[in-house]
Amino acid sequence: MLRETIERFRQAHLRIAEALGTADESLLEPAALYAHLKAVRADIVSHFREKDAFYPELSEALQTAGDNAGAQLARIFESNMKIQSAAVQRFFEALDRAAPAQLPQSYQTVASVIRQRLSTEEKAVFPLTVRKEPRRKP
Amino acid sequence: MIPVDAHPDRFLATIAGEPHVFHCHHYNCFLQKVITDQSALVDAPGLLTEAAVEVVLTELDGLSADRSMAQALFAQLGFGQLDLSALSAAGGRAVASGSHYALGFRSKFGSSGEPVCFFVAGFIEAAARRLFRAPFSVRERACAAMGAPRCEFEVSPGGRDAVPRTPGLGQQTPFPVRPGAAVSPHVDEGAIIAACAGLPLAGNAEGRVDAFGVSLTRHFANYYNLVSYRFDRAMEATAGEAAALAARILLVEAGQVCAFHTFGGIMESAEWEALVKPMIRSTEDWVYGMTAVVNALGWGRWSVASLEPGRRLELVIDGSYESNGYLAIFGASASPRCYLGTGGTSGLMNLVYQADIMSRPPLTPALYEKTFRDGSFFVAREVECRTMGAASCRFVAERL
Repeated sequence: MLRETIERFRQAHLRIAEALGTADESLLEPAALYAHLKAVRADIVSHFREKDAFYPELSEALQTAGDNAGAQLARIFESNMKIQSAAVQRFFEALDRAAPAQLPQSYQTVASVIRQRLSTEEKAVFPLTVRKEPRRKP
Repeated sequence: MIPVDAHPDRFLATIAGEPHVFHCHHYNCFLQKVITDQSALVDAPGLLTEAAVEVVLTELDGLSADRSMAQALFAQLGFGQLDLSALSAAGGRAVASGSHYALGFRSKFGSSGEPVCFFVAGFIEAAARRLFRAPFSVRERACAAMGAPRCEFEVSPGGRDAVPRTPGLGQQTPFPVRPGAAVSPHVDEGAIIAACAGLPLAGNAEGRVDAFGVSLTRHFANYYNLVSYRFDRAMEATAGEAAALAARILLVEAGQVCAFHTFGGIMESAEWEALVKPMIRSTEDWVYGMTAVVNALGWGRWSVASLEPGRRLELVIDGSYESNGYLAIFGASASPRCYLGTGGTSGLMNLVYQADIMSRPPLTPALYEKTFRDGSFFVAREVECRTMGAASCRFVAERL
């Protein structure tokens, strides 16, 4: 189950990376940037919401598998990711109220946080889950 | 009083060549808890105590300290009162009254189920090694954090043969020219640093330094370096990259906790009111005023490189104690290493532009949560680090 979730997340990461790359090209045109972010908003927000639900499940799965150390690490990530996730979702939810002139800078900060997060998950979190997923009974 | 040597050109202070920095009980206890919470992955007591032995023994040797000087140093630095009178070459017992770590832990986290004075145990072991020229090991038998009236330690002969020396001031490089925006026209940094140097920030009769609304210590910079970076490495060695990244998240969080309480406490203090506030003309001057005070703490030279009111801070640290120590102990790094600097940068901006520190709010856990979790708070990243080959360490804090 976790492996399938991770595979879905990996696909979402590719989409989000591409969406951020396209948004980067519109940094000098706030109206175009706004339109692009609005177009990808639903996908990104939905991905972050799914991740919010994923981390507690991950901690529990690792705990159930007897991997106490892994569960401890997952809880550290869970706490940190939850804060980031809330902030990213707030940014997208407030998009319609954002001042156009300030949008590029705000976006760049959010994009940096998203990229950092995806990288951390790819490098550190996903390998934990793949390695530690409890074996299913045949 | 044991002399403290100021190095105004490096924005550092040393005792017998060993760098010292001011940090409060919030940071000390939080950092320690970050490490002890990961005891399933790392040998937390060993990590915390061995680093203490190394820094304290290096300094006691540098001071040619005897028993009374070791006790005096403990009190002067704000760790409480230490009684080593019952120690002999056969070991014995040592007692700490008003232990900074025990009292700090209780005030921050409540009563503890186990002893918490790892640093103190290391200090005592170093003192025993210094006095009797032999290995010792120390176990805390009663701790004020657990409700005991005093902290009591059993000292036994034996233990590791050799204790590594610390790197002292570490690897230093010439400071680049300071950024043009480093100082505000209103905030007289030199006057602030001189005034801070004149504050009575040595331990009182109880070995406490109560200032800025917190319990301060003039701690060993290399203690922070050794415990932080060894923790980081031990986590990675035990559980791979996930654990290393988790460790860094926690260490940056410790920096934020430090900023919130220490910077916040300073900005709400009588000393700030008297010394810095009369110079302040704008909200941004609070940022400049605080960086000026930081430059009296022995943390290296902090400079504002650019400040967009309410939006973005670019901060440069020259000769940070973190990078000095990391480079000397571990050499070059592939990733940024100034965790305190990173947490301090976001902490400073969040205090000024999120927590409205100007209105002197109580620095409660609830305000911490609100400041660093809710709304459009600031996040910081270290974009250049001396440990990666840069001339300075550079941090950017932006609203998320």
